[in-house]
Amino acid sequence: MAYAELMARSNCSFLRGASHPEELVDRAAALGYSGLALADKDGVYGLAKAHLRARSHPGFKLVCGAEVALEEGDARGGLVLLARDRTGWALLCRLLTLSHAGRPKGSAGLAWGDFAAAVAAHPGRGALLALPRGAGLGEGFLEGAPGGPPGAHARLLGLFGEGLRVPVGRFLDGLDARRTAAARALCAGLGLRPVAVGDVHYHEPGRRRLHDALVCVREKVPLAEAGWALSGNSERHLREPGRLEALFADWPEAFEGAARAAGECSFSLDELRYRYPTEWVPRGRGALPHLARLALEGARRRYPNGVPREVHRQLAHELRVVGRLGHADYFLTIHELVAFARSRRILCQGRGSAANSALCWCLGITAVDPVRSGLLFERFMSEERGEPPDIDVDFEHERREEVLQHLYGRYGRDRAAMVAAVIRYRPRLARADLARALGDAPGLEGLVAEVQDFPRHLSIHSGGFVLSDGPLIDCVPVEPARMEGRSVVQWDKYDLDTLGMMKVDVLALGMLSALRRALDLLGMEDLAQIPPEEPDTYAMIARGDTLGVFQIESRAQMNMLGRLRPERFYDLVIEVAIVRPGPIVGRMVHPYLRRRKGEEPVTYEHPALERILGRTLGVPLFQEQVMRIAVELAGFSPGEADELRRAISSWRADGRFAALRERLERGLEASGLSPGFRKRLFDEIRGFAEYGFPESHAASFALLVYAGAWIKSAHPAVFACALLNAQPLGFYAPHSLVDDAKRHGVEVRAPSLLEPAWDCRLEGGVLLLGWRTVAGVSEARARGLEAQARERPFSGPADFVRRAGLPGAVLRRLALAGAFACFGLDERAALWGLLALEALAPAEGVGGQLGLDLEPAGEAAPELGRPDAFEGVRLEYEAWGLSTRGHPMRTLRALQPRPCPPLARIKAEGVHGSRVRADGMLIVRQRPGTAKGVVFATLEDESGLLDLVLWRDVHARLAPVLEAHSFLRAGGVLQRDRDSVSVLVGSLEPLRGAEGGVRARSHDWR
Amino acid sequence: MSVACLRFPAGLPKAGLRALGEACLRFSSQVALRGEEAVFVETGGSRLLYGEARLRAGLGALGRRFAGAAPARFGWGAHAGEALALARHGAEGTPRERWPLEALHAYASPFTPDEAVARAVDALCAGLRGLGLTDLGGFLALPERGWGGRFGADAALLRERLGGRLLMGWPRFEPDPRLEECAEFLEESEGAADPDPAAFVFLLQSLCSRLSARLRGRALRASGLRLRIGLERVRGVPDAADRVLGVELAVPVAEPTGLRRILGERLAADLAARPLGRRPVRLTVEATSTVPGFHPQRDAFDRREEEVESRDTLLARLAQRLGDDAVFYARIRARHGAEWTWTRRAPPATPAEEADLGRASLAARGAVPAVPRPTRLTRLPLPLLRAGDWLLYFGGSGKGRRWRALDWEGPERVDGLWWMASGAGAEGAPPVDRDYWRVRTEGGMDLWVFCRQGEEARAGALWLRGWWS
Repeated sequence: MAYAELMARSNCSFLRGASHPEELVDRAAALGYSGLALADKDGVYGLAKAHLRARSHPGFKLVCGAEVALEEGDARGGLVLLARDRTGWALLCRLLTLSHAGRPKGSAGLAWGDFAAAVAAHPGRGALLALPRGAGLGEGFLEGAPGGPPGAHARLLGLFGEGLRVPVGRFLDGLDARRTAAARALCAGLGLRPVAVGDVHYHEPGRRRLHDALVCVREKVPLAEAGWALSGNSERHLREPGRLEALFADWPEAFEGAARAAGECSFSLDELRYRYPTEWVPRGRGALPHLARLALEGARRRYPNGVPREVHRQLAHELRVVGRLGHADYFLTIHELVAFARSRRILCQGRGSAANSALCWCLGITAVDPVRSGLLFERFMSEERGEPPDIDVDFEHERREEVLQHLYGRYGRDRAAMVAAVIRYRPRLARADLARALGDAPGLEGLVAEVQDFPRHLSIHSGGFVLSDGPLIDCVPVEPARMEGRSVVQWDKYDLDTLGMMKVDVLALGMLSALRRALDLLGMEDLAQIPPEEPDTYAMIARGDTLGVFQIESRAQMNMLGRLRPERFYDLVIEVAIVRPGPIVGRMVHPYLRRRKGEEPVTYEHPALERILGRTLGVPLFQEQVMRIAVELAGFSPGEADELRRAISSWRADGRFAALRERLERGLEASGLSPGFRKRLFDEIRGFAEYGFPESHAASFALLVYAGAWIKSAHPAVFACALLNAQPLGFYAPHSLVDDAKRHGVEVRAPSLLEPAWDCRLEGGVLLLGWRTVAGVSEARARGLEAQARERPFSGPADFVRRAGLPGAVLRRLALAGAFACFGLDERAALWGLLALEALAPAEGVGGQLGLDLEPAGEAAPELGRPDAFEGVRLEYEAWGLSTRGHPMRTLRALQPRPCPPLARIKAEGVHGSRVRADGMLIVRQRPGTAKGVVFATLEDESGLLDLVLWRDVHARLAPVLEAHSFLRAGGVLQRDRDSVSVLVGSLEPLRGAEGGVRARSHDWR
Repeated sequence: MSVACLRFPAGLPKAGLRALGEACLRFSSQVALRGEEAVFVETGGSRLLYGEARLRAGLGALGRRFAGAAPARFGWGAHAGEALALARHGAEGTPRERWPLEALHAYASPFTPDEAVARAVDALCAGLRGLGLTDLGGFLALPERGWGGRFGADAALLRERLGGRLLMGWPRFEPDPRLEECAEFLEESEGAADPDPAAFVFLLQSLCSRLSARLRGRALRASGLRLRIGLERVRGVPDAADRVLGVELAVPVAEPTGLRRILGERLAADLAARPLGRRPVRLTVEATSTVPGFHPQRDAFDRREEEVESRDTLLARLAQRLGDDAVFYARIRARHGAEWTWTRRAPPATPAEEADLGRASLAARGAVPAVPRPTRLTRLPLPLLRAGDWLLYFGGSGKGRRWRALDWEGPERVDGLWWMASGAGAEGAPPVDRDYWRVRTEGGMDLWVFCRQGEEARAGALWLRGWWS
């Protein structure tokens, strides 16, 4: 006899289930269940995944539901609701939305009155099955709890009518008889129908241990103290129907009722008809024609000398695809968003595969001309794929909130919500949580492995927004996020993909903020005004002098620049893409570099390969190139080629690539390509299974790279000022940015007490640091100072101290950093005076008691001397995290026995293979995942940077020194490859005189 | 005034430092201790009595004796702070002005480590270093005027102390009083060479009463006892060591009868095994270790404390006889497996812990199971044979029983106490995979039986685990 489980929880109930939704579906289907109702607690978090898996089990019914928490007074109960049809689903979503509104995270619930009112008013009330939890089914239903009102089932009967069922469980826990008696009484008394339930929390008994551990994690008690929170046995798994039938032999009506009830629920998530907002289409015009008109207008702007024929062709093709797939409204929505940003002078740019689209280029969403760059539209969208497009747009990170609020304002909270992100267990967190739960119990590592990828809690996607034409809460529940002012749908981006719901990614990019500030300082309107292809800019990039430049400032990138030596824009595209796990694992880097250096001939086995791979010297560096090879040489259609690309990307996860590989192999062979080439190609393809950039994405970023590099090359003071004002961003701490600016001839001055300003600014080419660099001072306080100084300049140190209202610790740091020099006081004299003030309350009339030089009237300061050079630098670092006086190494070098030359000299003059010693301040420590345990570090001094390389065994020996000290002498062998220089370390020792010294931020282990 | 400081940089255990302090009392009545670090001895008067050289030698010898391998550092100063500062930071001949700023800690709080004071001194030192100062000389060279305003009242006080003024009061060290009672054998019959243990009873009773009174007066209970029998010295015969008996009490006791019985039983057993062989002359009873007792003020009308003491006395005697493994307090736990619903716990030390033993607290803690559990458990599961309606147990030596089963309620499946695997935690119990039934029998007795899941279930093997009485 058929059976369907009506009460199952997955691990998407967040620490309340111990199986993935897919596992539950697979197991239920394997056992011959006719269906399964997934009813996670307080949400539908797991339904999309279960729905996707259920597609591979024809004939298997997934019933969509959730459990809602109801409250009345002190009583609390769980009610499982299953959607019979679309209206039932809409009601369920609304109830779940209501249950989360205004509640702290993790405590969703509905007061009975609110619940009843919402159900009674909705047309879907008859389209829900309701199964209240009773005794022994977890949280007892209202009337089972102490103090609960009688007749709760009668009230539910009034709301749901024949949709109300009485769940009966047989769990062999000694309470089955009691439970059955209560259920029989209810059925007899109110004429209700029983349904057998398994109250499933995991798909097989073996998961019971993990479930117990998760209970303890949730309840924050160790296993030994969990008491009755743990079940006495493992019966709450998917049991064989035959066994269940035997357990319910005394009440077959309940057993049969389960499958019958599941059969009444015909709703499927496939019925969700999601519509994108349509308000951007003018009345009387269709979305596609309007989009086409905008695209043509944009094309004329992009090509003022006439739109090329191939662009027209490409636009027509793309519009056809967009029209067939019905996504015109999506593009119009993105276009509006970008137009809004431009109207507010917010720099923005589309990233990722959207840059493959001529439509996006002409609409101004992206910044790369895909036709001229030969990019493949099908990488972005294809009819074969049939998935909605995904356009990510970067905005200035400081102004992204304006864009988000624009979306909320335009569409309202019922039509706009952010996409969820499920935070899943990774080894470290899993080990920490489970170790606390297990205490002394065995099996920690096994459970850690088992819990990997289990949902831990819900968070927000960094910028994904779902927008809809109608109320979103009729499609998916929406709940408040932890961040104030944000609401989030209960599905993540993968779920939205499964269900065909589109999202727009509103991302933040710090570099755009920095570029905006730089453009403002230069009086430029946008990036298009920056002169292209300046030789000096490329010369600077080729030297690796790119500290602070977006995408090419990391140690690894600088190292590559010295070898690759970019000379033109496309070289930057390659540079951005090549230092990634994909090309490294695929072993594409060295062949490319060899060919670039002329150490290896560039040959092509087929004329088409020269066309496809010519710009990368015959080495496929981008997935798009593999796609084009498949199209032009193996007979794939563009859509099929995109499928190949996705198969490559998910190489490890599934076996799709194996099937396509054979076809690719045959096609390439038929085109006359040699076995050697084919083998090399497949080896390189393996690298694309790791993380790699699409060519369009690299090109989009390369635009920003060039812009930043040009500004740094031509206007280093502007560059430094803009970067500092856009902090935090980038790889390096502000002190490195300032030291780099000084190396470029920029004069830097400390924050001023006389003319305080929050932001750094330029005056006559001199970089005046802003108060944003002063430790312990908020923006509000600094701007207050600014206003005060504008209103009435500070007349002296006492006036400043009295009016500034700064904490004593900040004043002391300012004093010792020499900030009071503008009032004629050196460091210690200023401190001596300040110390007198701290014991005097403002009410006592500080001003009257002090002279202009902070001394109580009639008292002279003692002779205290001045800090030495290193101490002066150290004190500046304490105050503003950097030094205007000089680099700490300049003073420390003199204290060392046998001082070493500056790093720039070592780099310029060092011979490959020679033994060297180098002194410097450590600013980077890294251990990349692809480096197999090799550790990289970077030393800095007043002249520049030098990379260090520590093999694994060397690092094991020197780790204590590397991690405990910031000022080091490294000894080793110099390695040179063109302009890329590093030291293979053999010894490390701390420098003398640096103990208790400068506390400089460093980029560590990221 | 003149103060000597013996400082142990590596620290000295508290008991050792107190013993050293006690030994120093021979040189001066004014001795003070600082944590585990130092002993101060006021030597102003003693110098006149002993002479400085002898004092130094004597204190030095004491320091070596108590510290052993750990060297002690000496410091002599006009007051404790100066002596401690010298012992910490000074070297012979180094002027005070060259001592580092950290020496201020010694002046600020010589006798008692105080975190708040230490933080204040650290802040002061940080401020002084900010001014470029590194030693006491720089500190003292700062102008006095405005000192308090700049560095605070505490700093001003510290400066006075450096000048030997406004010193801290001396916290006099007093050695721990011994909880010891002693009496001498007066009667010839009491002091026979191999006396009957009964001879000790009268003396023991008196000593235990006095010791009990002292314990109760201090709101203490004895957790360790020592009985010492002083033996007669005979000219020409090598001295016999005193007979010393130590008793560790798993359940601390303060009640006199309990003390007497415990010591009496211990003594009787010892004398039976090893006769004294010499006349006893003195009996000493000492409480070697104590724990807090109940109410310091006894309520004369409250019998609860007496009942608790009687119970504790009984338990202590049982533990002495049967061993700590067999006699202990247990805490109930909420567990599905009935055999693992308790765990060993320490004896209640306070009235609150005493109340926690009660049944009401079990319910409050939710420790009472939803499914009734039998009132008795067998020590081990007993194998049953099922023959029709009958359940048969074949115990050895004619202890077989049989019951006729009328009704089987269940099963209650209990499995997966996996986290109690052997070797894990105090229980060390193996996991349990059982189906339990409550069997109503013809005689009215309800049995609690189980079978193990799997093989045994298929074979029909049954075990008796307990019953309801």
